[in-house]
Amino acid sequence: MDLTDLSKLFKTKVQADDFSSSLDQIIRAIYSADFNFEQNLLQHFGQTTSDELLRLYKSQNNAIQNPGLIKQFLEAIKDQISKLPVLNLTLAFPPRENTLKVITSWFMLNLKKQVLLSIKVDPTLIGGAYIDFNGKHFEYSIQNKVSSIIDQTYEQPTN
Amino acid sequence: MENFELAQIISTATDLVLLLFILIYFFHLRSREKRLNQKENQIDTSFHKIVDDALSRERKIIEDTTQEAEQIISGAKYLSNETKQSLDQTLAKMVQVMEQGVTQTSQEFIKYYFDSLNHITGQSLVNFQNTTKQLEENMTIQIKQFQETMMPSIQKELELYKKQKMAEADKVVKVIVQKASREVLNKTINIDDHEKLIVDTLEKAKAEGVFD
Repeated sequence: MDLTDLSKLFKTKVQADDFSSSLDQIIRAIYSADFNFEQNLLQHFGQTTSDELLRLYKSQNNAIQNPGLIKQFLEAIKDQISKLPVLNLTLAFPPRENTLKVITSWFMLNLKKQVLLSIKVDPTLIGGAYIDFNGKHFEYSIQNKVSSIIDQTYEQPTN
Repeated sequence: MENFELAQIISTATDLVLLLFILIYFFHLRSREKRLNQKENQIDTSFHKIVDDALSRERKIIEDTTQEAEQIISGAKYLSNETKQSLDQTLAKMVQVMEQGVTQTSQEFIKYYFDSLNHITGQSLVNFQNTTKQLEENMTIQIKQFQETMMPSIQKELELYKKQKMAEADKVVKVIVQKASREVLNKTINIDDHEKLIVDTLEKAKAEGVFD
């Protein structure tokens, strides 16, 4: 089962871990007598995420009251979460929700895959970002530009 | 009554005996005194005699001694005068000899001293010239060595020091400029610009193959 895009449910590594933990709690409650899938989703994730999960569940043509299928669906999501690559990102400012959306959307659009963002904030960057992904490092920041300009200024011979 | 008379008789007899005893004792003392006076007179006479003898012998000894002393003194005076004359003569001769010796020695010494000085002066002059020349040569060599070895080293060290100080100054200036830039740009760049910059970064990272 490939659910492909879970970015509407979580975007960061921390969010994904919390999400996975909540899924565990629901899975543990599946076989209880008074288990209600929709109520459990609503209780753990709120309306928007709950709706999105139900939409995904139904898109798999699963019966809403089948505990075995529910468990299979939730474990599939957990499995997919564990396989998502982590993008370590250093930014110059604390990102807002839209910033996270912009980044995850870019990945979905350009690389056709979801990544979990692990974000650090370093104001000395001024702007841009440092990227660490699968052991590769990339820097593009205003700080580097400023340093480069300053270095060039120093390297120029003075008359 | 008879007893009373008897007692008077005995008392009288006793008094008489006592009186007699006293008289005898007195006579005995008197005769003893006379003997003692005689003995004293004898002793006094013999003492005077002994003293007179001693005085006369003393006078004789003094006279003999005085006479002998006068003889010795007169002999000594003669000897003293003779010795003094002889000593004076000897000293006069010695002075003469010494004067002659001193004069001669002085002349020799002056000559020797003069020659030595001349010699030393000449030698010193030559030595001085040699030393000066040697010193000049050494100085030239040292200056040349300094110019060849030390000077470049010092210049290099100075250059290094200068570079080090310039680098430190540059570092400080860079930090200041960066801080100033950060302060200005952080206020200038809004959140939309930041997001655009992040997307630019992702594009460049993709182009660099970071996500492959």
